[in-house]
Amino acid sequence: MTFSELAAIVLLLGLAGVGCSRSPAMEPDRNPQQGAILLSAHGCGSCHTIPGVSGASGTIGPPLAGYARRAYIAGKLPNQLDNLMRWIRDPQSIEPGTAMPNLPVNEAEARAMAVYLYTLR
Amino acid sequence: MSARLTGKPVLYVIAGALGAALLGAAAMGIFIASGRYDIAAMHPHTQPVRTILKFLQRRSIAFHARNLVAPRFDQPEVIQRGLALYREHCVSCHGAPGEGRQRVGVGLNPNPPPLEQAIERWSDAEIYWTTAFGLKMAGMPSFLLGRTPAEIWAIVAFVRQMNRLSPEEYRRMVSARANPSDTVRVQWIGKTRAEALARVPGDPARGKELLRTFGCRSCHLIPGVPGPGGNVGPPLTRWAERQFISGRLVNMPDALRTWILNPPAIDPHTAMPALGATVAQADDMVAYLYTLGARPRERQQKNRSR
Repeated sequence: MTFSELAAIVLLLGLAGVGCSRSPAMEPDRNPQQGAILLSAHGCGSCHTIPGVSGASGTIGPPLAGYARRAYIAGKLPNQLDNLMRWIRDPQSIEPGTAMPNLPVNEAEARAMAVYLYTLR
Repeated sequence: MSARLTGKPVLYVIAGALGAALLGAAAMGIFIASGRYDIAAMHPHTQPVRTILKFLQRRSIAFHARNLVAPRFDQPEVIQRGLALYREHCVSCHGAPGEGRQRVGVGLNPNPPPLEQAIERWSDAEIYWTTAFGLKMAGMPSFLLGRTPAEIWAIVAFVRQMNRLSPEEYRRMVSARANPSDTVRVQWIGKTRAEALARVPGDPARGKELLRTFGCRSCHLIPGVPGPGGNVGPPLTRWAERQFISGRLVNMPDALRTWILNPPAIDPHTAMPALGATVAQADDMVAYLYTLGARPRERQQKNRSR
């Protein structure tokens, strides 16, 4: 065994020890943590900084800290659950040509994401 | 003294350390064999794993790209070639300004990052290396396979330009390429954010005061400008790092001045009103906002030293 193989094994073993996370419940309930996982999995965090979402430190779009208190979505829609779900699922229909692309998010996922964003005060 | 150090107690310590290391390794082996490690792409990495993987990636790319020298690639035809290759190979996972990924790019872990700010984090050589050779365990393929180095550099040339592309300009580029007889005016090379933010006009100290007196703070949180409210529009934290203004303009001094002077002229339905500021006042506010966060050059240096 070469030194680099040994080093790789030691690193992997180290990773294993810290990589064990609990699997979240998969039923589409209204547990806000489900929304945080979806925000991370759909990659929202590569453009937005979102407190409590893994890896969400993007600076392409605005930060979503304090989102529950934000008055407007995209500077035009009142910030309410149904509007936010529409915006998450189909921003291009609300603001044609916006930098935020349409992503394949279904209704249950959009709801879970919005529920999480409304925990950010 | 030295005789005592080479005596028995030292041997015990070494044996103990070896034993502990072996025990640890055995425990790790048992843990892996148990299958309890969560390998699901949908679930985020735990923070320590993320930190280690990102550090490994950064160091490895920097090391392997250290001797690459970029050829001259700031020519319109190179950028056009790069756009074609980008649309063929990259857009399906990384998207583009205003253009989403396709299904194949959704649900990957790590998430393929948008590349508008790639040049604010990586050198040209690092972007070339990553594109050419790909990244193990990251879903990033090697695009040099079946391609030439010149073609990979063309992709890098286009990715550089993405730093200054608004969704509108990107659409124009795409349509001009698809239909060369199109009369739309396309500027293939322009000043990037990284270049535009190297010199910002205006006086930040005066700008800070103006942001307060114009009441900007009642709708936006602005670090360094105290006041109540600030929840109507988005927070302006780390403003120098923000890519877009209102999702339409690329965040550069001229565009920001235009926006501050008359937002409805750019986005007719925006809730942000024109404030009646003079050009000089707008420039001062612009100057203060770009003191928030790290400008592109500082960002790249910060990345380097990490």
